[in-house]
Amino acid sequence: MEVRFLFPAHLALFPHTSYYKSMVLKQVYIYAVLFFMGLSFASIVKATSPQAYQDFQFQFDIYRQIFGDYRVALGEFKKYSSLASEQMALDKAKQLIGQRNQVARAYFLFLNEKLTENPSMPPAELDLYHKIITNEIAFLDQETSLAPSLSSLADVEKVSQEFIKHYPLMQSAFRQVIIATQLGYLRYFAKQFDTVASEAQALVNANRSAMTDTKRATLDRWILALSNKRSLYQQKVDGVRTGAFKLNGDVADQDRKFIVILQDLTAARQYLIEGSSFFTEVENALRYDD
Amino acid sequence: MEDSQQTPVPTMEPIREPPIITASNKKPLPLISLLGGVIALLLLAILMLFLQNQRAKNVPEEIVATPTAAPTPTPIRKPSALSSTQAFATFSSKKASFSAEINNYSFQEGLFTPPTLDLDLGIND
Repeated sequence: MEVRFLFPAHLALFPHTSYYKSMVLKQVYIYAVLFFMGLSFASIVKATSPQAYQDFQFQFDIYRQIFGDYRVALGEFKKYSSLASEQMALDKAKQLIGQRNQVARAYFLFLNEKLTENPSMPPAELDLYHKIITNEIAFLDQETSLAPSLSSLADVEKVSQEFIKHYPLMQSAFRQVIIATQLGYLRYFAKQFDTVASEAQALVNANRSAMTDTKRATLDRWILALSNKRSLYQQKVDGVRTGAFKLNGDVADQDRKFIVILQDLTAARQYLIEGSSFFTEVENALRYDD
Repeated sequence: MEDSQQTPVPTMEPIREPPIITASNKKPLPLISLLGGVIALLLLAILMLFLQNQRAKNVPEEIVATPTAAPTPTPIRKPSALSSTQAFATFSSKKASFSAEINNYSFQEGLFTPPTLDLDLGIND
């Protein structure tokens, strides 16, 4: 039936002709191509951050395995100092360096997906963090490209030193992107909070004359409480934003600051949750006369 | 000498009559026994009361049909005129959506833990 719709109707009158058959085959190919294109489009549209995280975990597992093999090979070399054991240790070291970069790269790609999926990331910030990620990945790729040309364990050590020097900066980038992602989600909720709050305020203002004095006073108190929660939220978020730019230097120090920032993010979210319960009070006060 | 060898004659004490108990010289009952009697009576009375009470408990109560009272009316809050407006419905639905989203959101701290990588390769150890 579909075929008749897709090419001239008079051809359907001659279903046994070779031309008819070739046209049918052509249509089948077109449908097949469209079907697979549709499938690939669907996979692009789907959120890819879980997949990216799975890939990161997979890369990390491989890294752990290679690290174990490398330690064994290095131990053998230190024990026997033979050429064969040195070559084995060198091969494992090359693999290790490549895989270590691969783990960091996979985690950056996961964060990149998270940034892209974020519901409320301002374009300027998105560009900034995409740029940070791109630069970090470029550094890691460059390090990885050096690995196959390493000819001795001394070279391995030299290349690894570059990685060690860069490591705090890389950890800072990880943390800054994570904080930006969380702030993006909070910004999304804060926008919703503002919309609901302004609607509540408009409803109270529009019906103020019809309310009793007690009800008016009650509603005014709730609106004030909501405004206070919003201010407290904003203070926390501003503090987090300032703290995020101070994440540098020693990795252990970064960790300490990062924990404080995560606590502040949780507190900011808590303010919005409390605000949502205040909205319920406003809603009930408006819903009933008494 | 003769006197000293004679068997001594037992001296006989005069027979005394047992004292006759009369009302005047009868000893009064000790106070403790009186108290004991009173306490025993009291205990008996308490036991009787207890048993009576137990018996009364075991007797099935008579069900007396009593007229049923009208159920207490549940207080019903009167909805305001505002609650039926479109503006209120919009506010209510946005509020519900916001509450659900913020309560369901979690920071996924497990995912957002940066990987710690081994820096020291141990070549120069």
